[in-house]
Amino acid sequence: MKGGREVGDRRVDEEIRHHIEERIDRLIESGVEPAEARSRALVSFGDVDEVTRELHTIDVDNVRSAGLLDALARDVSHAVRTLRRRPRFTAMTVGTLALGIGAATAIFGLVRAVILEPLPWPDPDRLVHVQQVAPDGRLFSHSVPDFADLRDGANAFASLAAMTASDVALGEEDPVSVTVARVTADFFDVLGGRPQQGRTFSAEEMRGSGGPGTVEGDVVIGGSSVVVLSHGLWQARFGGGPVVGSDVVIEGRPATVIGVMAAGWDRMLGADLWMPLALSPSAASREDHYLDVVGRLADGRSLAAAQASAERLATSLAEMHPATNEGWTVRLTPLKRALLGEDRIRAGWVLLGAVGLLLLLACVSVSNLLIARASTRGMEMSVRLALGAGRGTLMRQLLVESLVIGLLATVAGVAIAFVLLPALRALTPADTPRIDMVSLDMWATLFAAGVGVVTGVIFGMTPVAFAAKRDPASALRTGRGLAGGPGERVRSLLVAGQVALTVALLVGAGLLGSTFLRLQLTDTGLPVERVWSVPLMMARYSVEERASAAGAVRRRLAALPGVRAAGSTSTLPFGMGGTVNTIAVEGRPSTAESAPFVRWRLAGEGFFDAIDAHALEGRLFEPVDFRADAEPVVVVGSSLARLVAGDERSAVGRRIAIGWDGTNWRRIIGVVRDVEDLRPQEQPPLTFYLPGVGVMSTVVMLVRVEGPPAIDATAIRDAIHDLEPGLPVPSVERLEQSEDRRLAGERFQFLLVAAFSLIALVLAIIGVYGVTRYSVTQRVREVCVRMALGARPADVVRLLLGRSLVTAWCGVAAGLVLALALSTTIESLLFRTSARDPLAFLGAAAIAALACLLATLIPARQASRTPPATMLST
Amino acid sequence: MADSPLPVLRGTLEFLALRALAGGRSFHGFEILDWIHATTADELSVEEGALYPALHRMEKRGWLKARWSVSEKGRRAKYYRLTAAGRKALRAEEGKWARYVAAMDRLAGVEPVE
Repeated sequence: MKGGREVGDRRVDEEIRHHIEERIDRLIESGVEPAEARSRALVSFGDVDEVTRELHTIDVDNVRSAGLLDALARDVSHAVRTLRRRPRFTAMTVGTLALGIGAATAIFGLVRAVILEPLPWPDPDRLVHVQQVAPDGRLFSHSVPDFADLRDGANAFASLAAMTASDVALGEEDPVSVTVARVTADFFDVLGGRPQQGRTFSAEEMRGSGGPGTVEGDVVIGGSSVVVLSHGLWQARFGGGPVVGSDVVIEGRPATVIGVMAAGWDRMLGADLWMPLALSPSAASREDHYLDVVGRLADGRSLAAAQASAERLATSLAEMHPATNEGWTVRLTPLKRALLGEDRIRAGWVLLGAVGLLLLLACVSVSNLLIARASTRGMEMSVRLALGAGRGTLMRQLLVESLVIGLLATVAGVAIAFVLLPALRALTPADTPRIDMVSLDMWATLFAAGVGVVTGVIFGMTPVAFAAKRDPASALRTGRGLAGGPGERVRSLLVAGQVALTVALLVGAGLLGSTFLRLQLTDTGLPVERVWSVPLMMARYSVEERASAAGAVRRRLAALPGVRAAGSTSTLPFGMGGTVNTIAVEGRPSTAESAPFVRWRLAGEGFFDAIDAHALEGRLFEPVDFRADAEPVVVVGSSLARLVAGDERSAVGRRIAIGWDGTNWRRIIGVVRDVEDLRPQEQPPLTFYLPGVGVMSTVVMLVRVEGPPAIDATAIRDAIHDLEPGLPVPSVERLEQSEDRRLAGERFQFLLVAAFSLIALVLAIIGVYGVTRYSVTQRVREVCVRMALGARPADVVRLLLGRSLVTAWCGVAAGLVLALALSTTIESLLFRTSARDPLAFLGAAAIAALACLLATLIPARQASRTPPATMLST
Repeated sequence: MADSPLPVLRGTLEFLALRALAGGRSFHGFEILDWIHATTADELSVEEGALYPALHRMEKRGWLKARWSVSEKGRRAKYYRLTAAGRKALRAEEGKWARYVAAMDRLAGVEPVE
């Protein structure tokens, strides 16, 4: 049997050909015309193809002794031939499974890189994030003295370090904005891990003072002029060349690069470079909370033990400093959870669950296809068994066939994932950590392939398993072959469940789609397409200089041709965060718990004009309001005005205090329309505006132009550099773009769920198709008899549709109930969309019902069009 | 008018092929068919294609040994020969057939041949 299949096949063919040639010779000898002889020889031989196949099967059985590899090669080629004979079936099975495998692999790759991968430091589970908890339960960073006391007093930590991040300008000509994290002495030791190049800060450097950009708001920070670069910055800015020992310019002052950290550091911490942070606890206030604290638990200490120890310390601090620390405590969070965020981790698991479900749906669909197939192959199996083919052989061939399907699907699935992943990565909100590490995951592929192959095998084997139960002779007599499969009820139930899940997903997609649409259509109160936002990095100026520097830039920008107005504010519109405070309303008693939280912004000269806002009531800021000795005044948004006084008009003249304890009173001089630039979860948009430019290191200039083409980012940048050559302008963009970025999360959610429901829909259609086809094959005889008796195709279609369609539509109904039960769980994600939005529910039901109708109609019509004679003879 | 040829029952074909080869000669498939037709005076209608699976099965069971050779007409043909196991199988089949025929005869109302 050496020589493999090729030789074997050729000889089998040759044997038959030899026979036919002999027969032709014989016929010609007896006087038959050659052409006639040929066709008569073929007829008297019988079905050449069938015999060839049969001989091949027998011979394949024969090769067991000829070595496993040879046998496998034969089985595989047999499987490939069988699959190629039924291209539509093969394409559907492989495609379905590939869709599931592809989606699962891509999502797993994403979730694994972002959520499941451990932090890039040794013993990452021992790392914790330590926050202070205010009496009202809100979380704060640490104050300098509180951190120092925690570091010196809590013995549950092996080490503790603090950092504070800010944006600075790097470089002299064409400076860029980078995030510097100023870190305490133990920072690199707490996390653990050596720099990739050079070293980290020495004890001396930690103590030194006079580093660049040492003023952060009102906080003075010391430390030497040495920096450690992140891997990303080193690559982007220094091309990955030799850099240790060279000088860089930060906020106009030189600093020496002493080391470069490994790639994982910047991915997790979001810092571009690190500088030393020397603290002077005795000089700092316990009320200024700006230190992010990380700790490594001491050996043998659990998180709970460390939490308890830190709480005891907080209690003693509260006794020592009741004025500032009364009621304050601490909270320890595993660092991974703190860095990734609770929501993101939960979203990751939800995604994994969803894609697992999708894979399951794919498996259900494939199983339905295979069972439908098995019913048409029942006859083939019976014949082959009756002819003496070994049951083991049939099993082995089917097994190999299923394995081939599984493998093909895996290959196709990986290809799908390969295409899907970059798209998925592009869709993921850009602030997702480690998003650049997302890649095709070998383990995910293996897992998905395993599922695919196992599904294929289990359901692919069904035909033999059922054939084995029945006597081939009786199967042949009845002419139905060894059809059968697991209870039809089970399969109908599976398909109905599949349809139900699809409907639920479609409803989810509808609700999130409506949310996304409404968010996009909502009037934010800002002329987003005509306003440019220009953040200015003012760290190089002393606090006193900042207002005048910003004023000069403002006047310069306002004078540009095409510019209508320019004005500064303190926070980027559509930015994350912002500044919030409790307020007190005059004449209304308030407590820390009941006081409303209100967002505030600084409004410099020209700000309201820049956002095209007019006074609805009262007046807006005038130059006199910006003077140091002016009466303290405030402008409020209309929502806040209504909260204060019931309506906008009567709010003017009332007083509010910043801080619930009501010491810092300001008179309301005017009301402007609301600005809704927050995320959907963060309404209502209670806002007030304070006059001033501010002393923070970033001032945001807003520039309103006449129309979109009037002016571009380069013109704005050039104008600023003309005036202040060293001032970095990190990102000039239209508010439109900022708004778009704000919606990245919602867009991601919506598109993901939409994609999921689309895939689920395709799978459900295939599932319904499979079930219908199966029942059609089961009833072929009945159909033939009916058609022979004069039933029209339409009657047949109706007859065949019935059961499957009822099953599918039951699934639709169940799906609506499921969606009704589940939709409230995503209520918090919705914006101006009810969790019971009738349009989403009806739309989902309609789409699914129509799809199911189509999926049942196709096989039913096929059957009704087949001539009865053909059907009976098969 | 002659009766139409009788269809060959399953299992019969193997028996016939074994008988064809019982003389100890090597035959290719076509020769075996010729032999069957000649011996049974065309009383049996053998579907020609069905012969080959039967031959291959018997080869697999070790009853036949096959080898490729060139026929008298200069064509490559597969020749089958009876093995010792095949001869034993033939004897067993003959016994079975005798009983079968006897049974059929009784059914048909023909007195058994004593």
